[in-house]
Amino acid sequence: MIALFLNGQPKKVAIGSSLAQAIAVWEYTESNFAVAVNQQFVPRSHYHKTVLNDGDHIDVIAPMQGG
Amino acid sequence: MTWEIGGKTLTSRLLIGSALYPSPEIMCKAIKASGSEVVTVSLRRQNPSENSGGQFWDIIKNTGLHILPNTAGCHSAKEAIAIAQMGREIFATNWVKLEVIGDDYNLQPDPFGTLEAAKELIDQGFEVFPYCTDDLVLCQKLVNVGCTILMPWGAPIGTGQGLLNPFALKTLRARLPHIKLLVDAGMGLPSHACQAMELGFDGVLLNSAIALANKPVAMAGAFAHAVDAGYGAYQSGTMPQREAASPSSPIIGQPFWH
Repeated sequence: MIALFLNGQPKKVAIGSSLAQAIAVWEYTESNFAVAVNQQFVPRSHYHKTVLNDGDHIDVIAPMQGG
Repeated sequence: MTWEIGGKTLTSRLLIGSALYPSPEIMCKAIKASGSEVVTVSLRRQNPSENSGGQFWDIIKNTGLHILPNTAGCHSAKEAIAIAQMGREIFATNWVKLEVIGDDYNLQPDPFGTLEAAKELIDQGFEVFPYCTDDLVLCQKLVNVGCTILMPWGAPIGTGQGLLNPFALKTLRARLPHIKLLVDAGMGLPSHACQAMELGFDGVLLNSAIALANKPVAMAGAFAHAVDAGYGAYQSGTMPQREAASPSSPIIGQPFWH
């Protein structure tokens, strides 16, 4: 397992996990979110080929009220 | 009368925010009463157990308005660029309200980070609506990197103080006649929005002044009227100010002349 952060919270995933696999494990079922790894945007089409590493910071964001 | 901004044709010159309303129902009614065709939204972390983002997004989608995603809360160009890219994927729009904050106390935009992010985002095909200060040189540099829209503040966000530096805003209008100028932030009264439009601005972007009013729906309507009034005044050309009084009634024929 490797240790990383999802929205600032510690998480563990299997070594070699792709972002797509992690998103599925974390049960993000809605389609209205976007993801950044270490503050770099990852397009949805790249989830499968993005391999997560120990210590990665993953942000999953969704629409919210704003001015 | 229609106008164009960011490649879209609009009727209303009031852009509205989606935050701080007492309820989603009041937000929807206020947005409708404002007549706005553009609504701003933010992006925030979402945990899997929550779907607050989905519920909110459903409500906003149902308004049918153009979405203007913001980069609120970003403190660097890097953060703002990433949030803009994420917004483009979620909302399928190349519009972004660029906010790079330089000071947490008054939420003053960071001119250097804003300029850096604007250049990169324009290179990536975004239509950038930069929230900026009213500094002429900064605004000129934003135009030089490709911005066709500028959104200088009237006053710090959420203060409701109105236009603190009308001279600077007037200067921007005079020096950047072909740029779409909108006052963003700091207005509290419809008269503030009216004043911005009287100065020749193309529009205003509001949130707190409507959402935090005792009656947000009624206030939204009041702002809509104020924006229309100010725009009409600017288009009509105002009379010159004079130092001395000048009677409007004819002097000739005045009875009891002494």
